[in-house]
Amino acid sequence: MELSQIKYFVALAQTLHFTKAAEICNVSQPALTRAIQKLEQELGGPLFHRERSHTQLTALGQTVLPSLERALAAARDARSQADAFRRRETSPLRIGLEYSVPTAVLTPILSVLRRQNTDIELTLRQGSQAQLCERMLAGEIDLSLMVNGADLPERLHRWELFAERYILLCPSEHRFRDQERVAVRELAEECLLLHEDAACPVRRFVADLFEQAGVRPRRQHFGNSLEQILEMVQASLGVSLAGESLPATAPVLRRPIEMEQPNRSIVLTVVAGRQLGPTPAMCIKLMRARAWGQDSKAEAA
Amino acid sequence: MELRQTLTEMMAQRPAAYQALLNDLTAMLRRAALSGVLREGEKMPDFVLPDADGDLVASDELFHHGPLVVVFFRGEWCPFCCTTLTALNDVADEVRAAGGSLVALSPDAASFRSGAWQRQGMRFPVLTDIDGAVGLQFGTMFRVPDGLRDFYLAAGIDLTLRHGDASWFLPMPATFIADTSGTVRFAYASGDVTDRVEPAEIIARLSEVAATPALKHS
Repeated sequence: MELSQIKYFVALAQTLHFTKAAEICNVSQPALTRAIQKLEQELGGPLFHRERSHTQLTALGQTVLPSLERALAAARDARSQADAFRRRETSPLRIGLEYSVPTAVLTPILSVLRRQNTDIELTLRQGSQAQLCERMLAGEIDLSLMVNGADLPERLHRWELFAERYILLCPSEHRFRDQERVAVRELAEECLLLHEDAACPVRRFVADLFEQAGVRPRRQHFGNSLEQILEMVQASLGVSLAGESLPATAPVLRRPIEMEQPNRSIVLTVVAGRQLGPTPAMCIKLMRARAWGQDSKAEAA
Repeated sequence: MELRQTLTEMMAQRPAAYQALLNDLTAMLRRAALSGVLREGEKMPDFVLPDADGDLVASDELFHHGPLVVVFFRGEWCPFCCTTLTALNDVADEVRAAGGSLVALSPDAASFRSGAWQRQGMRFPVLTDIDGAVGLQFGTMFRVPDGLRDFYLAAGIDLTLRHGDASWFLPMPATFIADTSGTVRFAYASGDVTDRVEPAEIIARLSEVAATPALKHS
């Protein structure tokens, strides 16, 4: 496929008019027609029904249109990323993190971007999935890392980056210190430190966990960020849960929970079809290509 | 043994149905797509892409070292491509000695996510061309025909999962060499998965380009 063929096809699919499409693309109509015919040869059938006064997309044309629109945008973005790299230019990078996704997940990506240019204008926002979706759709956030994301609006595109299990976090002198793993019943005897927002994935997971085990937590305290909850654990106010991707730098004990649990997926989400600046677009590429699981295994080893 | 001969022998071991599908693909690419591939004398598109370690590699910076060889391959799932990359790995030192650099590009994001290239100890950068965005600019990308897609799916090769995109676009195997001004001095794609440029020929061509002044591109 040639980019010019894709460009002409998308213009014709939008206008359904050979003369108008040729005008938009600044080529002669015969040149546009030839390019479309060539693309049809390659894709294995007509892309348009050509009737005297009407031009309509065929079923094949409708099938390939979204892919070719994405291809055109991807090629355009790749060019602007290469230009920005050469000129050492950046664009603002606004990332959303759903509650319980640690900021440290971003560290390797940000250090690669900063090697290219230290002038990155970075904004991080924590929030519930619903809040982040709203902000992304409103254009206030470029990309978000969320948990699972099975119920995301269709307009958001999602890629699973890695899957992880929940682990227990407790103060370093805690009675769980000598236990290899901790049962749910034992967990319920502790004071649980949770996010104040009931939409936090950890809080929802804990609620399900106790309901399945038929127990109720003895006591709960609430904080408003993962970092605050970690400080509360360190201050021996109670125990909490986190995804195992949480870096092991915090001076708290980490213990597996004794239960069958589904993995939670960390997913990258962006608004489908939205044109992003070169820095967020590059950030997305780095995330999609990264060997995430390999990192955490390397750290564990 | 020459790479082409090895690949031809590998192909002979594949199921007849697969060989027939690939023959049809080659015929289609020769008829409709090869004429759109980047040619000698044209400007090589600039690119900046993640490598297997998650770092960014820019063509612009590679040109500081000398001419650049760019090889497009389909993915880790393709035995013909893996054999080719191994053969290129064996001449990585010769590429450097000839005064140039070599990179291989593929949209196979899954192989980067799984750390496959790190484990295989590649001695030149293997880059993820996410969504084939760079391959599109080189004119190497095509949409996998439906029959071949069904064959791959039945064999457990789901490009939607591997690429993180449902388009089923692949690059045809292709090799380009550009001089330090970015002018393409050598371009080869034949639409046949077993037909690759021999590593020895890449070294010879690269040495030739390195020994002559950079050209102005069209």
